Amino acid sequence: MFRLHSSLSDSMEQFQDLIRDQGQERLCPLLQTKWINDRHWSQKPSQRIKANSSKKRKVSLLFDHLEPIELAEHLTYLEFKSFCRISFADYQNYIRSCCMKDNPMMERSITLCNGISQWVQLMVLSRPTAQLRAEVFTKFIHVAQSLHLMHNFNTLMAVVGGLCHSSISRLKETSLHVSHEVTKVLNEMTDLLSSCRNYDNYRQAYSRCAGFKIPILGVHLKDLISVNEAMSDYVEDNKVNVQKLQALYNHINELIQLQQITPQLDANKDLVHLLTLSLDLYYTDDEIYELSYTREPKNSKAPPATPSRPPVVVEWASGVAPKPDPKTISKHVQRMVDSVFKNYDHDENGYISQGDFEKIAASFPFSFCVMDKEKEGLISREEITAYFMRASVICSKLGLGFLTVQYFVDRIQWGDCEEQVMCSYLEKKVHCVVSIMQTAS
Amino acid sequence: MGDESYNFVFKVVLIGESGVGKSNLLSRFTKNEFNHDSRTTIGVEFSTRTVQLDNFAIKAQIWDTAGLERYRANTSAYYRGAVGALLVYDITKHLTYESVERWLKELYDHADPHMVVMLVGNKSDLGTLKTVPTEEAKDFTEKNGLLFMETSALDSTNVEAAFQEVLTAIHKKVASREVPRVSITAVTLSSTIGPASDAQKKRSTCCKNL
Repeated sequence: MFRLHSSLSDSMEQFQDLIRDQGQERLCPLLQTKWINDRHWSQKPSQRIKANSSKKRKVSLLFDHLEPIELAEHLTYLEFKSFCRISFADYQNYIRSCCMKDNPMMERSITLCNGISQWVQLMVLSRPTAQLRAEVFTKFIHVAQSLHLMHNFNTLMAVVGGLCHSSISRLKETSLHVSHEVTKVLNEMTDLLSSCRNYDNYRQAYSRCAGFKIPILGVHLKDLISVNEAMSDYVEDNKVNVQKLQALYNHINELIQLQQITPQLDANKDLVHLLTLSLDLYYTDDEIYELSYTREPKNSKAPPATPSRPPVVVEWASGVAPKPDPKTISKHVQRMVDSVFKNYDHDENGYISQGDFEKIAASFPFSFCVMDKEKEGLISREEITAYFMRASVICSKLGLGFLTVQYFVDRIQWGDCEEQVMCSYLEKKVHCVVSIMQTAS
Repeated sequence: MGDESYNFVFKVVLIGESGVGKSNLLSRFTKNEFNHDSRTTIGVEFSTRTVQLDNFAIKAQIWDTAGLERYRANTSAYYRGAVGALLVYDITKHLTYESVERWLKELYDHADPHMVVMLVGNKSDLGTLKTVPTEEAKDFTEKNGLLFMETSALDSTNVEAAFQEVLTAIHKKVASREVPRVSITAVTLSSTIGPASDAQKKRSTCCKNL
């Protein structure tokens, strides 16, 4: 289903000719078939909403300095962009194949959602004391309230989902420092987003909203799959089940229509970039649990020993990297090298050029490492792997989380990170490495 | 649905990798109750079916991730109140079986530890392409205290039996009071048969009949 059959378009054309012959040309547009394979429903989606890079206004890029409303607005900016990229055809493909293969826009939207959930958890867990964790927790509740007011349900689900994740909800010490007011708000939010009666509360709230809104995509994708599974393709006498097609069309069309209504936002480009970097986290659930157990161990009444000095680097989840074991490092490096080769090995011969390598290496805070070369001007997969392995071990000894490395891999992969942002970020990183080394010596 | 009576509501979740046939299994089991007209509130009654066990009417409320499994944020909401789970893998795709342990871990992280879990090897109609031996899966379930069944959503083999067995096991646990009732939030207990009693509404915020 869904694919345009040539005989259908042929007969439609014949039909149109017939209409023209009858002098009713104005009716012809009603018989269009070209939209069936139209993949350009959301042409230039990124143009729908823009971030400004005003140089007049200085913005703080520190999490602690950002107001919940600012965070909510920038998250909404990212979410809307990603939502607008999903085309009618992407939804069709999703229903048909039930997987993310060849559906990068859908995958990106889901990754963003999961990234936000993880980021929320990591930001809470990054704080050493229960009191501080409760403050971050409270801040995210306020972010959630702002998201709710903006009718951005998808990010709301991601944030609340992160806060409700068992790695956070198990933190008893932290919850003692959370006020009753805040707990009450969280309960209201979980009620709103509850899966009970097939997300009935959410569906009602969602349908009451007029104007801009971002739906919880997962719920609507689930509906699409449910309709597709539950209704048969054909009815009696091998007739196409038009009701089913109509139902699927209505659902997809509703989502597509929402892309037309842009939110009123004042998004700052630098903040958007920084937020994007921060959401590219590479943590497994196990790693997050491990961090959660380190913060508040199982069955322990006494609060865990807290470091005498608060973490110097209060910068976007940079302090939350648990010591990665060699196996994990190796896995991450492998992924990274894959990305590098995907983007830079243009003729696919297993080598990248010296020039490209230097550009890549300069993006990482470990340019002090020396590269061994076997072939003049070309660098092989093995060499680059060995280089990053060595470099990342040194970095982790310096207290520099592997996250940093991963940030830039993702930037290379998406290719949309501005050099300036990278440089200013790196400057800070280098600065913090230096200060760590100074305090250590 | 308004005139339907039942004694218990059990929330059962379907989990497993995408593409193993969870939605297929569900539509096999609840087919007749899908409401074609519910466009805006699609699927509200879609995932329920009432079965008779020992003179009790059990309303099985079955939740299908249907693609939601990719969204980490939905995890807690999805598992809350579930008393049973069908963990589905594809017998022709070993990778979907290898991830079973990860799913189990997630299940126990978020759901009631007393819940009844069945491992379901789906697509038994593709027996010739089988890559997960029955014995291997069976051993695993015995070690982990899970129920086990191989099904085919395509030709309906064992679908009914799988759901029945899970519901029976839950019912047994509840009836023998082996599990404290408070810990099973999704179970609705009503002394008077009928969905509209006030007492029931108070007890269950989760499984109100529509």
